[in-house]
Amino acid sequence: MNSTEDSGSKCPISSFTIQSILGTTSEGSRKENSKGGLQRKRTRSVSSEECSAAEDTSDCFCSEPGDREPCNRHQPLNFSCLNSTKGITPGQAAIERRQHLTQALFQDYREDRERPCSQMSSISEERPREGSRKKRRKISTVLLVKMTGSNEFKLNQGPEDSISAVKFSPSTAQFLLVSSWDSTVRLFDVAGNSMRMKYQHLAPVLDCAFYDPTHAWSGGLDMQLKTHDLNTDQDTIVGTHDAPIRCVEYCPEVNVMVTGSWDRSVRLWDPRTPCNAGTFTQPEKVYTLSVAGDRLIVGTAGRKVLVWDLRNMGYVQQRRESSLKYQTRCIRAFPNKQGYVLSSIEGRVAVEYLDPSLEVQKKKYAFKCHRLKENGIEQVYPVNAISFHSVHNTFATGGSDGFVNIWDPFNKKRLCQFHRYPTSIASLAFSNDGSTLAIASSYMQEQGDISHPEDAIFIRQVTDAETKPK
Amino acid sequence: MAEGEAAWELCKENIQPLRQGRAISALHQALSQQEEGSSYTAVQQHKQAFEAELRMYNGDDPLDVWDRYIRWTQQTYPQGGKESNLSVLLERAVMLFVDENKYHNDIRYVNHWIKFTENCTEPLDFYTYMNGQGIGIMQAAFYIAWSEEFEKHGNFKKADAIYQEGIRCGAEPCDKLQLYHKSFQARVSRQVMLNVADGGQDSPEPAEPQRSSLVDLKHRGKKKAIVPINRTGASVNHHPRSLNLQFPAATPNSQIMVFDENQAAGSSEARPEQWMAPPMARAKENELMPEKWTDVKMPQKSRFGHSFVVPPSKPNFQPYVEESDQPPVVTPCKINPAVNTVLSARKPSKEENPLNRLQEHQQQQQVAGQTQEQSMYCKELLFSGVIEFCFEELRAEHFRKKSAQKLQDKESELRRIKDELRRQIEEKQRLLLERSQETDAGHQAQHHVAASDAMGCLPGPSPSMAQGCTTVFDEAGSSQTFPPNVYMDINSADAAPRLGMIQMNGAESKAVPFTIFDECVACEEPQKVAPMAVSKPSARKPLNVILKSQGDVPAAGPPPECDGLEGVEPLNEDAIIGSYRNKTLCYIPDDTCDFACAAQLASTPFSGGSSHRAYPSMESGLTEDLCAATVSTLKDVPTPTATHPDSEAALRVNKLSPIQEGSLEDGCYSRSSASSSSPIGASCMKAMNLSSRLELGHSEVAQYPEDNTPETEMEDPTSENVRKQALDKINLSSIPNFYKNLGPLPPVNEHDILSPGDEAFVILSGIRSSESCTVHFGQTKSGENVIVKVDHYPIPWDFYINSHLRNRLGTDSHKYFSNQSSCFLYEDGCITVSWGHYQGTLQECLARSTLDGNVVGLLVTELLELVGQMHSCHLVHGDLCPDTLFLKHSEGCEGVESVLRAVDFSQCLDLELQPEVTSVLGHRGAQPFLKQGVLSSSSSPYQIDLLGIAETVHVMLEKRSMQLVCKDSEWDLAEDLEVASGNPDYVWRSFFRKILNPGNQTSVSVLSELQQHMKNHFNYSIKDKLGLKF
Repeated sequence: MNSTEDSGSKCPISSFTIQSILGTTSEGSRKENSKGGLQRKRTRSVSSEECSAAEDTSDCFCSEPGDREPCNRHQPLNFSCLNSTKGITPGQAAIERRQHLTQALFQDYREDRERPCSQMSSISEERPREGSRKKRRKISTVLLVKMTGSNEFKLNQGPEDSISAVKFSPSTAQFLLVSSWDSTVRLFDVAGNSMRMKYQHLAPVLDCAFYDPTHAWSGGLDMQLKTHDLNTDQDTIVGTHDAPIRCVEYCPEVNVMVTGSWDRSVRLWDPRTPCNAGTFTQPEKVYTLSVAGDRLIVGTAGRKVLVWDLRNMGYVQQRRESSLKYQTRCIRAFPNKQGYVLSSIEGRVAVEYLDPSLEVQKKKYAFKCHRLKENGIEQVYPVNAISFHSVHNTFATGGSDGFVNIWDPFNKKRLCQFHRYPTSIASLAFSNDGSTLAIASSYMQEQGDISHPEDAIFIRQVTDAETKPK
Repeated sequence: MAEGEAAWELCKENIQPLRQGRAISALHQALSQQEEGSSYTAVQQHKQAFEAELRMYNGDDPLDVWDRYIRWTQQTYPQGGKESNLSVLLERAVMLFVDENKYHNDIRYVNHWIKFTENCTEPLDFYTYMNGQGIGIMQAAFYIAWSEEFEKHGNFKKADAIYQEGIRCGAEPCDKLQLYHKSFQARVSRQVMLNVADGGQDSPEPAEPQRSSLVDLKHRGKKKAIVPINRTGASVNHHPRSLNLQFPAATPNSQIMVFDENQAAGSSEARPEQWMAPPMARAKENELMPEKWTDVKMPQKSRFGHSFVVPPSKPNFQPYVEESDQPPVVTPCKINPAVNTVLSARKPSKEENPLNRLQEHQQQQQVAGQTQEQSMYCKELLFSGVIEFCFEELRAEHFRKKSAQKLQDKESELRRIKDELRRQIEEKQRLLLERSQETDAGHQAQHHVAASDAMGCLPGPSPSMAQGCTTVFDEAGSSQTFPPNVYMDINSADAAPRLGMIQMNGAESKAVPFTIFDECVACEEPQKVAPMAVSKPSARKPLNVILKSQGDVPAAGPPPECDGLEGVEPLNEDAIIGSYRNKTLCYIPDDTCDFACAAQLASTPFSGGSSHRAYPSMESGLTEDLCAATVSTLKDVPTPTATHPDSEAALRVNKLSPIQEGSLEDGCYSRSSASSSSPIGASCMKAMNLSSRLELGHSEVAQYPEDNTPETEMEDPTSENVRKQALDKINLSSIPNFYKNLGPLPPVNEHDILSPGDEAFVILSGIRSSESCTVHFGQTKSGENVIVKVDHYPIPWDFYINSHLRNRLGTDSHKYFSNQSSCFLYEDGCITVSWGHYQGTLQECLARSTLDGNVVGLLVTELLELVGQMHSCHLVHGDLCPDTLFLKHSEGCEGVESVLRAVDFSQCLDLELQPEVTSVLGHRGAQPFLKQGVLSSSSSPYQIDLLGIAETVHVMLEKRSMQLVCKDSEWDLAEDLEVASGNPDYVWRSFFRKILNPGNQTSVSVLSELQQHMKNHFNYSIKDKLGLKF
């Protein structure tokens, strides 16, 4: 274990240890570590985040909203078997997947895997011994699972300002496109942990997307939509909006690029020519959009949600209202194209279905997340990012609290929660094969222009244990 | 105007009257915009700007923004309605400041309250509330509005009491209130009088029976109801079935109300009453009054005993929407209404009255401390306006503000500098005048004084400027008149920096977007979108600028008939000011560098000068720049290196694929786009050059006649000048292991010890030498072999290439290039040291023994990969031959490491840094091939290396250089190969055919193809074979 004392957000991820997060309390916990079981100590806890009923629906992830460790009971199923076999079966798979890891790293990794499973007992053991309630709570609220570099690393040469979006290449998990407020779009080679190239916009870039593995599209405050040939490193300005472009997406079914802007319009672009293929007025400023097959789901200001048919943009297919009470932050469609997940600015996520029939609509629900309890006050954070796992139809959410959760929308369960990242999660992206998750931890000035931890992109190898519905 | 009037005539009925009237221009604008109905109009932009301002405002009068916003909304939406959002806007504004005591008697705030109240259905409640809160109690407008409201209700007594109250409280302006009060009294009394008059005439009993409308009549007859013709009096049925309708009695009955002032005053004593309970819910527009919602009934027993359910019917009311109220573009919708109810998830929240909201809002603020939830974002900022914002919008606003601020700062700084310069000039002028008056010396002496003054007042005057001055003085001295060509001269000197400035503006506006409209950017826009159409517009544009400047300068110039000396100064001044007028990039007022650059621009367009501006971080290299600039102006080298920042940026796109999954398709595409982009770059560069030449033609054609033909005679891109200018763009000192030493180049002799820096090298043997450089083997103290290259020009080109290879290739570079190099720059040369276990050149090895065919094959494979790596990062070696290729000491344990190394980059081209090099023309290494015709003037520079490889391979195989012949439009070797080993001849044949005739393929794809080809035939480990040799 690393014993660096600087409680640094700036320290590299490998030294991003439990102590560095806990600060002074780490002293005590480490002492106990030497006394008691070594790894048993790390309490997997206990966010105050409860999966409780949504406002209008009675569905919830967890039936005891008052419980302090509500989701743990859903959690350890998988891990406990891992623990009992000392990581032979699932661990073995992990070894095979990570042959490149050194033995030491793997050891660390396995410890991490084991840790969560024993937490229930360890907490109950420690409770009388430790005595100090405050200390325990601090541990429990501040951090979660683990902080090692074995299955996660930070990308080098990251953007100089906040990250606005990360997108994986459609063909491989090797390339990651990153747009940023420093007016650049960068292409990273994730495997090599290096920046392959970058290109400039005139102003901060708010979103980017791959058209195909060799073409990136991006738009931002300069109102220009650019396409960049990654092979020849050549820019083309495809067109402009009347206001900054907020989102850029590609619809492979219809072979069209879609942009949404604060000028209250969605524009379609033919990526082959490339040229504008239509402008479609929305009732409000477009804040987010997502493509589900040939349908386009647009989230605007004023909590409106519009579903368009990309093959027939003559009229709106569905005009909805967000089922959440507050501003829409992000919408992502299920890979199975049946519905979408919508997150709001006040710690809540809704799962909705596109089929308007009554019985299907009954299935929709919403739940609270990304909330931390501090001194009896529930701090509610915006949920900024959603990304779907293409294989399992599970999804990850990232909030301004710096946590990333993975949810199973069918069983209404949280599958896991990663450790707390240095600052807000601005964007998330699963690679196409679902093996890798790119996590952009970047302050978005939600609370004004204040000093904040360094912006960074973390690449995390995720396992089936973390992403597969149980 | 007539048209506008017509428009306004046509939609008069849609314009709500405003008390203060409407600006006709705003009205026209609003009406015309409504007709257009574009999706994102200026109106929306304006609105967004207001919203942003609401959030960004940090002054001490936040109401001001709201006030402007509200007034703008009123003017912009003459028809009012929901779209204008005025009532929401007013409500927000009113609620926001309800606790701000300083605004309670602010006329703007009170007016907002009154407007807001007028939009509500129960205004009296609000006036009572305002009075209770003390809002507007010192404003006459409040009392007037309140009283008018009472008057509308017919309660004259109360209305009068309100006026009384206002006057008693001393509301301002007092006379206005009194005026209104008087006219109110006049109105009331007139009405009363009228009533009295009417009452006097009309007796309660009408003289004649009159028909009354809407009454039931008595009818006669059972079967057929017949009503008598006379329908008054007895025939009227006097038993109405329904309730009697109570008609509001507008005026109390015929009795005269005697107004009792004292009594009224007495009744007003009860005020101000506190707001006791919220007024009952009342509706605004589009709200239902409480009534039966639908006719759903409970299941009822029917007559037959079955229970049945009445299907719920939809509420049958139609929301009232004004016809004119359609939003300009409606998103069309075709939704089954049955579905719609399912999709709208949230129950419609119960509508509440704004006053309720207001009070709730106040209560919430009181209990804010006890809330259980805390939003971890700036909620109040997002929702403080009428339209919500998201984080990104807020941040974008901050970004805009910041960049605008930056621009402003820069502007003011420039203005200050300009003022200072003007002041200096005036001072000097005054001095000059004094001197010319007191000294009676001849023209010659004055010439010197003036010239030196001109020099003194301007930091670092350009040679040409000084020359311009001297010519003027000479002319003045000799003939006392100004021939037109003198003006021309100064014009062009004046115009050239201006052109430079335009370019700089272009570069600058790249960095600071949405700022000011920039002509240059505008004209460069099409250049990006449709690069094919560039050359003409961009060539035309600067010409315009120049024509203008030519127009105004002579006008400002002295009248030719005036005295010579007096005439000189204004002209002189104008030239000076003109050259400074558009200066935008001056860091320090005393900084002479900019002027030097401008001077250089004046004499040689597009040499290094403007490119320095593109790299403002290079302040450390300023002195260098200066000397470089002066050197190049003195040398008067007209170069084709257009360094216009934009064209440079456009040309920089030539980088190769960062994604190596080069499918054939992609490869073709990249090649075609790469090759298409470069001529475009060249053409726009040409255009720039052309335009610059047009302007400068007057002064320069005579001086540099060769300047006219730079495109036809390509200069050697490896020449010192070109490289120097290219390297000037780069901050070499930021690269590690770069040392600058003062003093001349130390002598480098064999067996001497050379210690340029901390390290010392023993020079072992010379490898090769040319007029510009010598290459030696060396050894460090630790016994490591190094290559020491001594250049006789202070251009660290090899070092630059080496370090960039490392940067661009990353760890791949260790395979074929030295992994460490350092450079020692002297005044007249530089020494580049490259580390690596070098054994010797390929040439030496060949001289020693004949290479086995397989070894050659492996070496060729390596050579191909080496060149491929260089090409992939836009580098052209340019001089591939056994002399320049080194063999590495293969140490036993290193496994399958490569043997070849490239160290000497004397002829290397960096196409990223020198984007203007688009063909082999001018390259020294290409000249023999050009003569043979193997290369044409349009061949890509990369082809030099392909031929270099061919040559090297041929020498390796045959130990002599190759002879080429053209067979069937394909190049081939003149003689058959005498390959020593058993390898089939066709392998090499096809190799040469491929490499000599690359066709349209890119060099990278040719190289990788050949590599594959070689690997297929020579798949042994290189160590096995080479072990014998070394």
